[in-house]
Amino acid sequence: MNESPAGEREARHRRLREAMAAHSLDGLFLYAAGWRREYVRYVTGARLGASFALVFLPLSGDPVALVASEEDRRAVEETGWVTDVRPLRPLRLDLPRGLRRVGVAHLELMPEAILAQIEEALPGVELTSATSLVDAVQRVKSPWELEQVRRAARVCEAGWEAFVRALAPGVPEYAVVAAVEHELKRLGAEDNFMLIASGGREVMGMTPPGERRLQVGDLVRTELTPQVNGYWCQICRTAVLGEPDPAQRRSSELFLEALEAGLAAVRAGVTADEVARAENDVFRRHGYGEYCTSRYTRVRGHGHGLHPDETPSIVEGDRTVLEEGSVVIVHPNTYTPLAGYHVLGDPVVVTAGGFEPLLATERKLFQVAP
Amino acid sequence: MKRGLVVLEEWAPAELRTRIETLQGRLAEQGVEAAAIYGDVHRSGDITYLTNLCIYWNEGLLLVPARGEPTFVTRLSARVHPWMRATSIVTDLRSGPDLAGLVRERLGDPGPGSLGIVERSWWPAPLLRSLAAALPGWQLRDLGPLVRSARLRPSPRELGLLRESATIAGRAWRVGAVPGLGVTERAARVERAARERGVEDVLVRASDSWLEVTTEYRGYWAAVAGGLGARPDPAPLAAAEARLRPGVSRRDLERDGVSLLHHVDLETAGDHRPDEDRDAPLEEGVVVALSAGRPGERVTHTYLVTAGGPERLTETGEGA
Repeated sequence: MNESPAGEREARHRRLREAMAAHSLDGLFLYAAGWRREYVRYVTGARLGASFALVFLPLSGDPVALVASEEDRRAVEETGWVTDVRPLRPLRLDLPRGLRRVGVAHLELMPEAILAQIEEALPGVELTSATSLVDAVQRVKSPWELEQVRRAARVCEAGWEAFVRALAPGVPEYAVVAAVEHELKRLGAEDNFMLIASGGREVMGMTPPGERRLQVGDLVRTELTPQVNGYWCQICRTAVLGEPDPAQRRSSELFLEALEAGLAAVRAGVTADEVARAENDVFRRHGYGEYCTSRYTRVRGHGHGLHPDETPSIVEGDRTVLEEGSVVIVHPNTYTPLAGYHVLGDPVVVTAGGFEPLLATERKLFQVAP
Repeated sequence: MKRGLVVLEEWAPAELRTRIETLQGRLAEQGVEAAAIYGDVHRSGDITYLTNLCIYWNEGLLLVPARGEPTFVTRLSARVHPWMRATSIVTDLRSGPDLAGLVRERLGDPGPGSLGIVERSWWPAPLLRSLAAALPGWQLRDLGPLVRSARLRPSPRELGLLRESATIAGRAWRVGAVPGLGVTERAARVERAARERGVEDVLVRASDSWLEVTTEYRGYWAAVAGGLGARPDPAPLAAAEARLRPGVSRRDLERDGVSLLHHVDLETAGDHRPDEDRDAPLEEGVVVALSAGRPGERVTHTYLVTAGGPERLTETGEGA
């Protein structure tokens, strides 16, 4: 269901068209692969389920949606954001004449079977990737979008509480995930991206769950990321089963300091690099700088929205400027020899003077009595 | 999304190696140096079938040389390699943003040859183009649904996993089909019931009056759906079930709103199945899902096709 206010569709299409004009594009294809539907959802407002979908947005005139299933046709028609809905197979485009340069968002994922038909339908037209163009448009959220992210944040908090309730000696990792999934779905989540890791200092990263059963003394880490009404929001926290040992306490203090340093750097106008550097400087100051490298960690945060891992990546070297109204999670997650992999992260809305925190969950090492 | 239990069963490595060897035999017959199979978090059944790898996020491709060990190249970080080695039979794992470059590095410099591309139509076109650029002089030959074809008829071990997947789907359906539940509570109960039984993935669609559950257990998919309350199976489904025998084709069965999906196509609801699948006669021993009715109301069950008739693998009790 799409409950967006009047004007949301027009605002999105207008922003995309402004970006198209700025990049000399006469038209824009937005492609949805089964695991990357965010661009098509942005322009249609519809929750789709098939493995492929495509929207053509001309610089002026009505957009066309091409869908692969009856369910997806209904979903697009229900929102009414795009009224010309056609089957994807066979592809009948009937595009406006005179197109010279057309962008393709998610060109990198478009199957040969679809791209070949587009190229055949557009002889002589230059096709170019518009993935980063659409990413940039989607980074800044409308007030309605931010409301959806806040809703997802409430579900995040509840998911973490369910995670903590499920922790007990002898419980296998996958049962913890089952308990969290129950709570997230009960609260209306469409989907969830979740990783987990339990154990001690030997834990080097996060993965899907295994059969390992929790033991007293374990750190149990998770990043869980429910999707509510299209919008994803992530929480990263770590719990200890029993009393934390001194190294676990020290690890918790280190990650809290790094998270708070990263958050203190967040405000509109700073770069992703500056936020990452603020986090990493804490590790460097304490002698753990080597654990901020790609050998031990991926990113120090990232964007959120209709995709759980939007741009920018919060990493040193990424000069993307954070804009007011964008949403990022700051998470200095990494391995250190103190207590193994540790996660702690909070999503925030970027504001002119700093940030709006999205979670009320305490930033601490949670303790669970065995 | 794939966030349930991922394990490599004790018996699996021997059978998986046999599958790789069988594929390698086909590659030698076809005169290709290696086969490349693309997968992502949405669709990775062929790669899971050959290796037990779970692509829980992002994308990658499996390179199976006509002789030697397979290699998985992925955009996932190298930090997940230890977990992938622990849960699959692949030991050669390579990570980086340039998948084509990783393939070139793996193939070394044996001179121009022929690289088989499994289901070329569904590969991202830019990836194919970068492969062609990375392997000058090489022929990229479409092998079609070579792996899918091998998966259609399950081995006895696979049939056991399909039965378990169907049992879990049926049980989860019954847990969620309790009258009076709200839609979200219904979906929540299904998720918990299925994931506690160790599924890797479960897809749930629910309304006030209907429920569909599709489970993936150890890489094997089963589906069940139906209306809530005591309703008989719709006549078209019963009629199709009566005709479900070795030798019939989808075209024979798909009438009056009935649709058929092989178990290997449940992952993506048939979006990737080849056109020729419509006329291919069903073999004895295949596992399929039959559905009847309109979207949001349909009744679905999973069956083993035998010479004596279909064996229904999903049980819902009263209701569907």
